[in-house]
Amino acid sequence: MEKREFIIEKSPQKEWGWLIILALFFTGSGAGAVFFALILGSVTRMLMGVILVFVGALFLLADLSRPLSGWRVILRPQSSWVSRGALGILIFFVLSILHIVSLFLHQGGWTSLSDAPWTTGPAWLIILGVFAGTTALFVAAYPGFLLGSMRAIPFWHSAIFPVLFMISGLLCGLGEIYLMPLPWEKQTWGMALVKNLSVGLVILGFILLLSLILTVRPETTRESVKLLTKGLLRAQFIAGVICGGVIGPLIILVLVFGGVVGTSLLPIAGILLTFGMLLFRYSMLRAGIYTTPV
Amino acid sequence: MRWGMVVDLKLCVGCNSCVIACKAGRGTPQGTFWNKVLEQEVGTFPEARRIFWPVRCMHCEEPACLEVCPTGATSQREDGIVMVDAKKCVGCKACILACPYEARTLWKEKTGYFGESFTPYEVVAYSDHRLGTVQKCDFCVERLDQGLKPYCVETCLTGALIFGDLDDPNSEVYLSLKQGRISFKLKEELGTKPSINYIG
Repeated sequence: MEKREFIIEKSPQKEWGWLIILALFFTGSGAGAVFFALILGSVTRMLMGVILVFVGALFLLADLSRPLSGWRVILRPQSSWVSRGALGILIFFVLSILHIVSLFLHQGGWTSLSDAPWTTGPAWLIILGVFAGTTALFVAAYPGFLLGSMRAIPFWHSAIFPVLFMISGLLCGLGEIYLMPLPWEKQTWGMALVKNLSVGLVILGFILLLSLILTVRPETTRESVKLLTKGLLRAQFIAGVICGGVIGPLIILVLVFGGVVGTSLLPIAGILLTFGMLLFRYSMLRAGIYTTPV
Repeated sequence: MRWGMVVDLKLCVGCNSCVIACKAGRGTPQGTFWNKVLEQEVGTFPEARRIFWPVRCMHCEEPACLEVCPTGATSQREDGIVMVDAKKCVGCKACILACPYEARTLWKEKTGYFGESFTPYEVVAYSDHRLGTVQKCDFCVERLDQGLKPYCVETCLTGALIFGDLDDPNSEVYLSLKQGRISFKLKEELGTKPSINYIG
């Protein structure tokens, strides 16, 4: 039977696909990496984070139909979250690169100080670090605001999304720390703080994900949640995000920090966190279902 | 002055002539429809029936597309018509995701209705459009400026589409809203304040 074209039905969005998913993943990961690099006072990790955000920005540009006119997206920050996000990324680049250069000169090399620079460094370096950290948090969180501004997709209209994206970005940053341990960071004060933050952040991510799917909301939103928990996206969301991206790393972190198993398992937690947060972005974008026009 | 439309659902028979008139008159690219007639099946046998919903850009007073546009490509004229400036559009697709009426389309591929090469009609018609930019109904703004009505309104066989100035108490569109029948707007709860009213 021939498909009838103009039937009223709920359809998932197809406008934002893999390029945007990868863009949000790389910008979020990079921002998370920079945030933790600031805690660790690590020039190497900051540089890695900035490169990741740059790769994400390239994916954002590649998704535009007219990438050569991409500069235009910064013109409407007064109302558009696309503009605000693009401007946020630009300011992030400027502040982060300034901080990297300053930190490099202050430390006299790539290795971290035994104490984070914000406890021992000069005031201007601390202020620069605070601003760079704030923009990193903004870059991690803004996709949540961006999705929330799309009135046609009720599932994305949730106050939880900016927090969830920010936590997800930070979890990616954690994943990179555990995935690529740097020998000179092992015993630093900052690393001890990161370890203490890890378990709390993963638990917070778990609670937020649960509240996202358990909150009772309008019909179209319930369709999206059904898609995530019982529909086509259940493998990616339940197995990939909840089990693989949150519960798995949580178990490993608790076992490692409790001294039950060795630290050799930490890179596995890193891989799980990183891959889980990629799948988180995939699931959230794919679960966006349009409200019917009628 | 505010241009607007009233759609009489009792008069629409789902003939799609407005869709074809728009395609022919505005020469929209393959797969792009600036207006559509959506079909809805309601009730169960023996009371089952179909309702036809002519939909297009609602030219909202508070357009969701306008606030998300990052380049200023989407703008609103003083008479309420929401326009897209193809020269400013970069194809970010945010407006497509924001519009609750699914009224916007991105022209992605330069193919014709009869294969990759264009017919002479398509060569002329498609030259008015810009590949990689978002498109939508503009109430045939050039015709309005000449004192004519949009193609869809002029073509409607049953008079289901009534067009005019919503602020003019003598206009047909204004009077049709005051005749006592129930009128409503689509997705009013979203606060977009559409300029297209439906009477059923």
